[in-house]
Amino acid sequence: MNRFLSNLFARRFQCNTKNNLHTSGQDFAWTKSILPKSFIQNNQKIYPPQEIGENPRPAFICHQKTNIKYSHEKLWYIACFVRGMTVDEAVKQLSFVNKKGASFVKETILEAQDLAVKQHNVEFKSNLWIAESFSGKGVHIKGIRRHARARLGEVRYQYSHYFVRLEEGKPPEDYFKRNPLTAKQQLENWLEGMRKRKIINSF
Amino acid sequence: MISRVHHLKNIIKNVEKNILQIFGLPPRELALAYTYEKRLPEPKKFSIKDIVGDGILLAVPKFRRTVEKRLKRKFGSPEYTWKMLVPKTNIIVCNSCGHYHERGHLCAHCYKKVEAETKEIQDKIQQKLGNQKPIENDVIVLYNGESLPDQPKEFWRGKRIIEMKKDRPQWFSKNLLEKTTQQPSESKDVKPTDLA
Repeated sequence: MNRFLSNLFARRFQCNTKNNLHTSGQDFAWTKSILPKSFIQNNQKIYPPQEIGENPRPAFICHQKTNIKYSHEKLWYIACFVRGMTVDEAVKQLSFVNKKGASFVKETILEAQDLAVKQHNVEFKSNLWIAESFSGKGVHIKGIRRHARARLGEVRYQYSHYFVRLEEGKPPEDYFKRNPLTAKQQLENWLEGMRKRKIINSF
Repeated sequence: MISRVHHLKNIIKNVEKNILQIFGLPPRELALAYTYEKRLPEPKKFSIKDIVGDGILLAVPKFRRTVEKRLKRKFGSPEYTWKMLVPKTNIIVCNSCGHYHERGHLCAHCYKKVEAETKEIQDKIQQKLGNQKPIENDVIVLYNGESLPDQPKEFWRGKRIIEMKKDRPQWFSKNLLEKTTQQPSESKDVKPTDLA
């Protein structure tokens, strides 16, 4: 009886506060935040059972962090940095990146890793790699500043979102297709350079 | 006929003259045809152009940014400043705690421990020796179950002793507080507790 009553009241309370705060439809800039939904809905997609000979579809986890007080252009650099890395490597590297966005991205990846194990049936939390990682623009709240000679400038307080998709398994060898030269190739190149040298004014 | 007109005119003139005289006004001969008044400068109409000048339409793009310029701005150049983040290859594992740190830098996790302990010692020193004068003498820190080494009395002159009410941390060997100016000892009888 107690639990029934508490549930009843909790539902009403939910309608008022946290869940609907940002979609309450008031006409202020700061209440206009419409949170991105389509990326995270990929998690709910149910695939038909696979054929017998088909390659097993790896598990994936879509996660996002919204309304980060940071510029989305700057966040893009960090999102790019992390693509194609294993989760452990990404977290390790991000700890040594001197940017504000690095801490947000690191938190998001750790949360996603946690969700993967708890909700998405991933066996080993280290067996994950970052398949997709990108930033999006949130609300920009405008302000005014003064310049010399009666001129005004616009100040933008920028918010951004960060999206990440973890996939189970080993990452591809060369995600960005940089094709780095192997040690053997590098040695050959160096040798060739050395052999091309000429003693000037000689035969 | 004309002289009569003149005569009439003169009469009217005289009447006017007399009337003016009665009222104490000056004669008409002294009247000015035109009074020169000092003309005040017109209040200057305020327009934004006075302050801004012709710069009101200054900041406008003249040409389309080429794709090369856009890419250069976004990625930089490998020869100058490469804007993309590059993974660091100098991150190694700390042997004592297992956390990561850069090669050539102290492990942050281990350092935090040392920092906390140092703060404790410093607080104890402040507590005991006070803030009145700067502490110019050596401070010897003793932990639980430690005693002062056997030294002649001159050694102890001017040295302050702080007793920490806790066990010595494992990583805090006595070697760490040894002065670099101290000469290596020749003695062969060293107590086990005094070994670093």
